[in-house]
Formats: sequence, structure tokens, C-alpha cells
Amino acid sequence: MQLKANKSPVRRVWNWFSSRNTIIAFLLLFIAAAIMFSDRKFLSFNSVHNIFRKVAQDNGVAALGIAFVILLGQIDLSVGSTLALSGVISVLVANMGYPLLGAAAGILVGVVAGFITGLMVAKMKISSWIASLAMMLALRSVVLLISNQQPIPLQSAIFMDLGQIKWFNVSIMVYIYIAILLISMFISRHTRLGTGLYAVGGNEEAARMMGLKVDKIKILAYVICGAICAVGGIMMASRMRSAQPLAGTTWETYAIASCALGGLKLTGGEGKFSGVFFGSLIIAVLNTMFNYSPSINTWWQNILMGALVLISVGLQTDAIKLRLPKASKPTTAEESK
Amino acid sequence: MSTGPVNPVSLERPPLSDTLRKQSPVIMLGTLLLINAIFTNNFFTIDIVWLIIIQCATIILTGMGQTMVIATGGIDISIGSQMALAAVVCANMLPYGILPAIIAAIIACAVMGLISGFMVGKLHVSPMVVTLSMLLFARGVAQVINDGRILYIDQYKNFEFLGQGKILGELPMQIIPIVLVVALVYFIIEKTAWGRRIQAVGDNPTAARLTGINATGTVISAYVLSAMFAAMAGLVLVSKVGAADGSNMGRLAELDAIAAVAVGGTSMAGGRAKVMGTLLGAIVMQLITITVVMNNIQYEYAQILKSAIIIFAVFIQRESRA
Repeated sequence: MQLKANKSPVRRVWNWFSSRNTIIAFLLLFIAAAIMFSDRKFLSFNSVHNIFRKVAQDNGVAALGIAFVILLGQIDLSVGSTLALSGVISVLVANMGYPLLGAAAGILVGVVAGFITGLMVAKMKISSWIASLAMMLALRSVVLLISNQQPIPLQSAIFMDLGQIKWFNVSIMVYIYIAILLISMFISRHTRLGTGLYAVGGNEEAARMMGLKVDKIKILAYVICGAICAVGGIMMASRMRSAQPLAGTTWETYAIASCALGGLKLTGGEGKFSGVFFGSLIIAVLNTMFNYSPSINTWWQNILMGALVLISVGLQTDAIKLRLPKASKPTTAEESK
Repeated sequence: MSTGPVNPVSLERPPLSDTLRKQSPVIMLGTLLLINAIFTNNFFTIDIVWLIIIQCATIILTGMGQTMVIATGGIDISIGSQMALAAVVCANMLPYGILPAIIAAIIACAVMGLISGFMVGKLHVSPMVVTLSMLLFARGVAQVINDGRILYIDQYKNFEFLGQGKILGELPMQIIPIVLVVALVYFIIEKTAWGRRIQAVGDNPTAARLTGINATGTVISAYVLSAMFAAMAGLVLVSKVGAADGSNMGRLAELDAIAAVAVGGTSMAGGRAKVMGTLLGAIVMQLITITVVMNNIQYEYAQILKSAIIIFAVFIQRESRA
């Protein structure tokens, strides 16, 4: 009977749309932007490339990192500080003449920072809010102490050139971002860790009873998050040709917003990395729209973004779906299959 | 527990370690004062007390609201933006009089709190997402109203008196909102059914709903009050500095408030509100900064110390729940 109900084309279309609202929101925004700025060649290779570069250079990488933690139902406020610290450390080591070692040191810093946060959350059972907040303050202070509150110029030529490489006219930043995205998607779908993430995020007690090593999964998620943010910090340092002590301030807000826009459930256990990708794209397109149009006051950006997150999350709630019983019933039937 | 009857005396007097944990904010405050007594010159002067009152005001006010929201099992990270919104609204309304300006600012924030509370309580959206978008939204509104500029209000001397003036000789004006809000929240949490409902909803929402508690209304009330206290904090701040900066005012204030709540012993999982703990937590946080500054230590070390103390405080209190 349920399958019969499912056959109605209207409902099928509705289901298809309601399960892909992030992509649709992105497409709508993109089309709107394309029409609004058709005189400025919004649909040209350059401007599309710019949007992707924005995702890779801005908080897109941090959003991928934080998504691992959010899937667990936890939070990591220290992404921006981790990014800044690994940037500073990698530049300092690279300036000594070891560019490769610099990159390795930067990533190591991210891994260690993530490990400490993970340890506090998993073993000491401190709320992830408090643990990552403390890490955020402490790491930022360490950055400011090391750098003496000044940007550290990058002197390693190889490191500097790395940020300028282009393959087929596409910046290497985009390739790195896509590589991280693909790896994250692979981990979440095809590895034991990935299924563990969803299991722990969905129901920690049940996961523990099934014999999953919950603590290990939690720590690993934080370590991956730290490592991804470290890569973001190194990318930023190489692009800006210096390590900025205030890099990544407030990025955690936008990273969480990308995840929320991308349909990640912030209580954990639901969501896809492709959603996070589109969430980051939405923020980048919004950003571009505001940059392109001189008539709109740039201060509206925050209002629009806040409203967008609120609406997109509001649409995903059960309370609203309950009022559309015809639409929600087939969805549950599909899920239960 | 399995052998013999339960000793009533042991029930009334928990073991010493438990008492220590429960009183950890007090102990921490005492330790900090002791350290200062030894290492800091000129610490025990009355000026330091005034300084603490002035500087703690925003953390205490926002912490009180945050305590209620966290007790319902939620979190409100839009507090900093609400402060900015209140400051900007108030600064723009000042030409129409001080009282209308204050009321308008508090109402503006209460509306934002109402929206957050509705989304959390009625639509059951995760509190973090709701208040995150409210963080962006309220900040955006504050920026649009002020067009991103800083609005100076130093011509309104009467208003500035609220943040810079003294009463009864030396007592800073900030003491009035602090005492009012702390007393109000303490009364609500400890003495009224409303306060019990707030903690019941945080402890077990389903059970609370089944016992007939209006969970939606309770949650909404917590968010509205939190936003109103944040508005008061914003007003205190804007009257102290004499300028409203929509873009930067109150940034990261929510984190200070959350830290004060956590250090004060309120469980982040909800269901337990410790009003006096939050008050002490706020003072502890501010005292660390003052200690470090008065000993000529770089501010960054204060931040590192602060984060270590937050972790330590939360860690030792965690066991008392088990």
C-alpha cells in the first residue's frame, strides 16, 4: 500500500526535492546570481573558478574537518586556532630551509591538537564545548606568543611557489580541497571508522554495547579534524606568503554554518560530506554575490546567512514535516526498506 | 550499600571529597585570592573590588541567562551578538530619551530570544544551530542598523552615568543590574515552580512533558530571559565605553559566559542550574585576568591559564555527577 502511495509522481518529485534541498538551494542561488550578474559574466570560467577557490581558501577546508566531529554529535571550536598554529609552525620550520619538514610539522601540530581535544572529550568526559573552547583560547594564545603578534613572512621559495601552481588553469588549492573532500567521503562511506562515526553519533550507548571502541573513534575524529585544519593552515600560509597570527578567527562559526546548511544533523549521526561541500558552495556564492553588487549593503550578508541557516534547518525538522503527512509518509517507507 | 541498613548520618554528611567538589568554585576563588595575597602588590584594596564589579558585570549578566538555557539542556551562543544588537538599538534610540532607548533595546533582544526559543522549544531544532544562525542574524542586524560604523554617544552624559557613575560614594553603578539579575535568577531557579520546570525539562524532556509540564513554554521563557539579560549586558557595556560598535562589540562574549557557567558547576548536559556557582565562576574568570595583568605577565599567558583552569574545574566537577 505504501509503495502504491509512493508511485504518485507529485510525491516522488517532492521526495526527491526534499531530500536534496541543499543542492537545490545552491542551484537556485547560482541561477539567481547568474541572472543578476549576467552583464559581469558570472557564468564565465573565471568567476566559477573563483567560487571554487573561495571554498578551498576560505572555511571550506575547516568545514570538512569539523564535519567529522559534528557527525559524532560533538563540536570543535578550535578549528580556527589550530589552523593558525599549524600555519605559524610550518612557516617557522620552512624558513629554516626544510619546506617539506615544515608541512609535516604543521600537520603534526594539527594532529596533536586534535588528539588533546579528543582525549579531553573521550577520556576525561568533558563536554566538547568546554574542551574545544579551552583549546581555542590556549592555541590562539600560543600562536600570539610564538609569532609575537606579527605576521611571519615566508622565505622558503618552494613553499611559496606551491601556492601559485595551476593545473589546467585551476589553482592547486581547489585540487587539494577536492582531494580532502574525496578522502573524507571515502572514509565516511567505506571504512570501519566511517560507519563507527555514524553509529556513535546516532546512539552512543548502543554503539558502546555493540562493542565499538567509542573512545577511539572520538579521538580519531578529532585527530582527523585537526589534521585537515592543519592542511588548511599550510595552504593559507603558502597563499598569503606569510603566517598570520589571527588567521581563521571566527571561522568556526562559518564552518558550522556550512555543515548546518549542508544538512548535517548537529546532534550527530546524520549527513553527508557532499552536503557539506554544497553548504560551503552556498556560502561562497552568497559571498560572491555581495562582492559583485555595489548596490547591496555588505552588512546584509550576516542577516541573510543567519536566515538561510535557520530556514534550511527549520525545513528539516519533524514538526514541519508532520504538517505534510502525504510527503513524509513515503519518505519513511523508503527509509524503512 | 549492600551490607546492613543505610546509616542516616552518612546520607546527611557526604564524604569530604564530595564536599570539596561541590564547593570547588569557592575553593578556586579562595586559592586565587591567596595567590594574589602573596604575589600581588596592592591587591587587597577596595579599588580592586570596584574593578572586579565593573569588569565582571557583562560576564555575570550573560552568565545568568546562559545558566538557565544550559539548565534546559540547550545552549545559547548568540549572546555576544545580542549584546551588540542591544547596544546599537539603544544608541540609535537615545535621542528619544533614555528609558525608551533601554526598553527598545531589551525588547529587540527579547524578540530574537523568542524566535530562538520557538525554534528550539516548538520545532525541536538543535539549540546550537538555532543560536548559531541567531548569532549571524543579530550581528547582521546590528551592523545594518549602524551601517558598520561606530556610533559615539558621549553627548548623553545621563546615560553614560549608568556605566561610569558611582552611587553611595564609591560603589559602581554596575552593582545594581548585577544584584537585580542574580537575585531574580536565584529566586526563579531555587524558589519557584518555574525554576523547577526549567531543570526538569533539561533533565529529561520526555518525562517532563509526560508529567504535564509545558516544556515548550518553559524552554521559550529561558531563551527570552537569556536574550534580555544579554541586552542588559550590552547596555552596561555601551554606557561604559560610550560608543556602540555593531561589528565587534560582544564578540566571543558567549564563550566567556559558557566558561563561567561550566566553572560554576552547572552540568552542560542540562537539568541542574547553579546560580551562585555561575556568579563565582564569572568572578574567578575575571580574577585570573586581573591577577595576570597586575603581575605584569603577558595577556596570552592569562588565556592559557584560563583555559587550563576551565578544563580543571569541569574535570573535577564531572565526577560528582557519577
